[in-house]
Amino acid sequence: MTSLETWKTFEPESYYKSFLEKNKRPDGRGLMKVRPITIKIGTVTTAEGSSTVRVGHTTVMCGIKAEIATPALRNPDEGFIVPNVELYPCSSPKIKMGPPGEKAMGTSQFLKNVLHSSGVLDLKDLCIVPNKLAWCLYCDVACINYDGNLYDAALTAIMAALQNVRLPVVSYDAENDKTSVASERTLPLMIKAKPVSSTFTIYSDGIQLMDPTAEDESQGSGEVVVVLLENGSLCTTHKPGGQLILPNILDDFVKLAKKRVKVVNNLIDRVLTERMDTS
Amino acid sequence: MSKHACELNFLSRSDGSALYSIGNTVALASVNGPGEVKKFNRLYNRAYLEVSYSPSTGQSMIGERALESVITRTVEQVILVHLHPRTAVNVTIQEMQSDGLELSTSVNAACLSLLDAGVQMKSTFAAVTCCLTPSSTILIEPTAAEMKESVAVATFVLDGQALNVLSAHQEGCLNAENFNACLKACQTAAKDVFNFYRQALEKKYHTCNEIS
Repeated sequence: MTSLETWKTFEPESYYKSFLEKNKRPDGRGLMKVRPITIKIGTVTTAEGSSTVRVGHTTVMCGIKAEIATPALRNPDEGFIVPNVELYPCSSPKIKMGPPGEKAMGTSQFLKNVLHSSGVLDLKDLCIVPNKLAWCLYCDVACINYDGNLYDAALTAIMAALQNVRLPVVSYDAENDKTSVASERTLPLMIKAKPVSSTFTIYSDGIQLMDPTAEDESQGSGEVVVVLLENGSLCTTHKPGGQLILPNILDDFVKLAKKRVKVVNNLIDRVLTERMDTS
Repeated sequence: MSKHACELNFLSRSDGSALYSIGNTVALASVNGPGEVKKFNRLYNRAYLEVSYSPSTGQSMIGERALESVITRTVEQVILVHLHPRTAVNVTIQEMQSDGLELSTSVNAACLSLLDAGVQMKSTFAAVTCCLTPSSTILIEPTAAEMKESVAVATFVLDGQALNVLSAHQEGCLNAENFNACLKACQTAAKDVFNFYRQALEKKYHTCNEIS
């Protein structure tokens, strides 16, 4: 082991701090620089819609399966969208086998909240026959390599996959109580909003980092996620505990997040258009 | 603002407990610790914090797990964990009655129960929920019916010293201007909550003085 690696192993806090003092991170990035994003769609051919997103080394796959279900009694004209995030043990040494842990559950709840708050899908559009048939979209988000920033990667993956979903036409014969599903998947979903999230880690008073890696997250003390709509306006924020922040810092985060919105949405649009051209 | 009420030291076997209600939402928090910790959770330089939340009806699902996570990470920042290495602090929250304000009632109950148990903290903390109606009015501590009609519901957990943001949770869409307005409204309301904490604790210690 070189002396630098020895320092990193035995004194991770001071090793990391030495980079921050020079306004850089161990991977060479500035404090507000984001990692490159790669998006691929249609990676799970058995799913109605799917995508694979890489944010730096963090790799997330999303597959959307559509099933026909009976609408709930409370909302007889609405379908369902059920996001579920899982972190596989292969993604990081900190993740163990077993039921989803805090990180996975927290991210699932975050996705559920963002999809609902930003109005990505009108659940009424997922209804086929009120009180009888509705689509239930199971969105499985699997992280196969965890290097920080699961929120952004998961949201990008689920948005790319949703825009890639093709549902078959369903017809219902009320007289004979017969449901028939077409064999071809042709109908896209009506996506009403395209939210993009940006995660920041609070290291200490006065030092915040954008798009944290796993090392940044373990050295930091809390995350703040700001979610913006495609026109750059703030939609929702998520700060699940962690070090306290001054309210004006959120305005700075929103400014930095605005630039990211166009980048991500343009990338998703480009990937979708390329797919349409080739198929 | 809805009516706050609380009873401290409600449970005789816990180190600290608080029964807290905001309007019609009631939560019971119980604190045990710093005490025994499982070998698996033992941390060499600080206390291990475990929060468990049980809803009043139904099974614990991801919503409850997410709530536990928010409360754990908020409380971790506030209690002086480094004073109690190789120990565990357990906070158990039982939802008694639900009218939409579960998060803020649980957080406030947790804070008072930690104060009742005498766990050392950097500052107190309080949660305030507000909602934005379609006519752009901000309602503090709305009822479940008011929340259903609203555009967005935001809950902020603020610290007792400078009213800075420890946690923020939002449902619905709030643009930057509305977000800042909600935050300011919650910061103003939080001052009343901290005064309420002070009164509750003064009452507890006043009663103790009378006995001695």
